[in-house]
Amino acid sequence: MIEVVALVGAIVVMGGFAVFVGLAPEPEPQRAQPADAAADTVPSQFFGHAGKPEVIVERRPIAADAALRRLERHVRAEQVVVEGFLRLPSAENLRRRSASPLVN
Amino acid sequence: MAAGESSGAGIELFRGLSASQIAPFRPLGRPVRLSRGSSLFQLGDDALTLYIVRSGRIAFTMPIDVQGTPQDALVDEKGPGSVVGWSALAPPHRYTLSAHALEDSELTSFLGTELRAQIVLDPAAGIVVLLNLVELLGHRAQQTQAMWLRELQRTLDTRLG
Repeated sequence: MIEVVALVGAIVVMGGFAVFVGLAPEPEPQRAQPADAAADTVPSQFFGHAGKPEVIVERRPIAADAALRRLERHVRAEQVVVEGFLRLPSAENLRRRSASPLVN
Repeated sequence: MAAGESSGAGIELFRGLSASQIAPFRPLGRPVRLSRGSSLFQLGDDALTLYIVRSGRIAFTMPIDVQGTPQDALVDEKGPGSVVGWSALAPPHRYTLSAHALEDSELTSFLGTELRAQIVLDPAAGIVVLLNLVELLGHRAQQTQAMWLRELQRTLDTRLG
């Protein structure tokens, strides 16, 4: 009886040691589930709101000089449109698109 | 001022003045030459001087952070005939943006104190000058308001869809 208890104790201690030093077998990684054939037929709207495209903002770092040049072109292009609005004020002229590289 | 400017034609601040009305303003003007890139004044400086652009082009800039680095961004630019530095006429007499020459430029400078004194001395001419200034400031305010609203619209479109 004593031998059995000792054997069980030794197994438990060895198991704990193995876990401590990282020898314990890793849990089996979950495998990717095969794509459901029906998923191909799911409309794209399922993943987002229909009619509301995601706005992707450019995050690439660009040199400060290049950014300033783009800002200058933006200001000049916007001023052209705004001057048109001030000559002939209307909601349509206020919303008119400019040739700014920042908003097109 | 050059002889061709004696009528005030082409100079937005003196538009509508007769030759005799504009004559007392002429000796107040002093020629200034700026090479490309030279600073005319900096944001926050005491606005002691008003300028009229005679040739070249003057850029107005304000500080903006570009990718975390402070930079001077163009907010407006003015060419021949334009008034630069009207803060010399309006309290609190501090420039609210910076100005520099985009290209070699010639300007006429007027001390704000002398210009204000002449406006008081000849009220009939002075009121024409001040009305011209009101028109300039009104245009500037409307321009800024419209540009701000366009940016606000874009912010709304982006945030609210």
